[in-house]
Amino acid sequence: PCAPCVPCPGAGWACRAVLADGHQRTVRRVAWSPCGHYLASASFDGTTCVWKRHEHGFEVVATLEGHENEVKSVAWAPSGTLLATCSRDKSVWVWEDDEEQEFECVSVLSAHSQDVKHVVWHPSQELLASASYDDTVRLYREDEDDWVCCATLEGHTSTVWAVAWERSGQRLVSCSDDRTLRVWQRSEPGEAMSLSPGAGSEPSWQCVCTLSGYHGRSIYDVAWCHLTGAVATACGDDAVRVFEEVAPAAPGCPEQPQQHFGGFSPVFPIFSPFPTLHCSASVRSTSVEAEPSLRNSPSVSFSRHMSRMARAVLPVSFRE
Amino acid sequence: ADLFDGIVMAEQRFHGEGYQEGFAEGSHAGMAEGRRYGALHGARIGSEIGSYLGFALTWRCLLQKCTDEKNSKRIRALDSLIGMVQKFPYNDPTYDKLQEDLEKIRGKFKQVCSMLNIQSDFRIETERSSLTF
Repeated sequence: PCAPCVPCPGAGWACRAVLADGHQRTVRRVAWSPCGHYLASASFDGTTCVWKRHEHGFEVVATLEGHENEVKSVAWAPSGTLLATCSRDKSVWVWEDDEEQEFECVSVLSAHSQDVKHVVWHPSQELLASASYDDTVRLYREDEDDWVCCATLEGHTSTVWAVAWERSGQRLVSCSDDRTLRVWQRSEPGEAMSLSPGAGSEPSWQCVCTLSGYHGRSIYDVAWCHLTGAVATACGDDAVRVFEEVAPAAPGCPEQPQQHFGGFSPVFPIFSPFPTLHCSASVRSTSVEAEPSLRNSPSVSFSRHMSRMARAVLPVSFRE
Repeated sequence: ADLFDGIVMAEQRFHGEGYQEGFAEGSHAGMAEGRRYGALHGARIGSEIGSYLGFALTWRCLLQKCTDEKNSKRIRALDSLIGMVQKFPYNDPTYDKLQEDLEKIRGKFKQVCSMLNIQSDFRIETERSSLTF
């Protein structure tokens, strides 16, 4: 048991409220509503509380029950009327706020086969992403009065801890226990070469970039800045890393690969040494890999069929 | 030569016969066990889905007269659950979406319980889960 926290004088922050009666177990995540008047808290006691901000504090306006065990994450949709929660019970619940601040369960989605760690909404649409212990990221949307899982992003080889959307919502990045970051790109049906031609009318998602070798341990969280486009990661090796997309190199640069790809390279590695990539690009059947010259060096790989889109969308080249 | 064949190959022959007998008996026992397991498992699923149907029909009946907005949403959800259960293929254990549809039905049931403020978990929760982040 630790001593009660004493606020630091002159630190610039004041503790306005301590909401100690809402939950019976660990509070795992909090989220502000888009309007800023509400706060949602997800707890290991299986409930999610929605607090309303008043002049003199916060008051519980709703307690969302239904999950069978620990709630791991809660997120507000950009519209402010939808809330998503996920739990160790492998399900994702979508709740809707009617005008009286009564939250009603709109859907119970059991698409994952294991503990769901994180849920996050698309920045502008009512599209939900979830990350799970089952190594996948799943996307959900509303379809005729009910919610369905509209995409499964497979590729990670271990638990996906978190997911972050790019500002445009065309890409998202996932971080995993497998120490890699993966960037996924949306492609509309009929556009580009789809891996599964019978995909029909649903947009498909492909992994366009995998960043491996940069992190020494599991990556627990990732954030994609909507202002600068930088991607930051939180890692079990005690370092914070920031990645940025590489700007186009000058023409005539030696060893420039034939095709141009979107590339992410570390900008401010906090731990030494700065990894150097001596790369040569080779085209294989479905992927283009930049092979590092040293075995244990970081590597970046791309999906070939996405390279053309990447060229149109991200006119960048691979920097040595 | 034929005379001695019977004696010389006796062990091998008995071995083979024994194997055939054992295999036949094992297959038979396996079939019986499989049938029992199938019946048990089928009954379990039937019982689960049957309980959802009974539950949904009862509530549908109870809420029939209610016409306000909140209850109309509940009625829509109940109708959806009833529809899903009635569409479930009872006669085809090889239906490829069996588990998926079953999960959807369970999810819809949980949603309905949440809307009606009813506890959907009828078991007694005895295990205390360990902390995992």
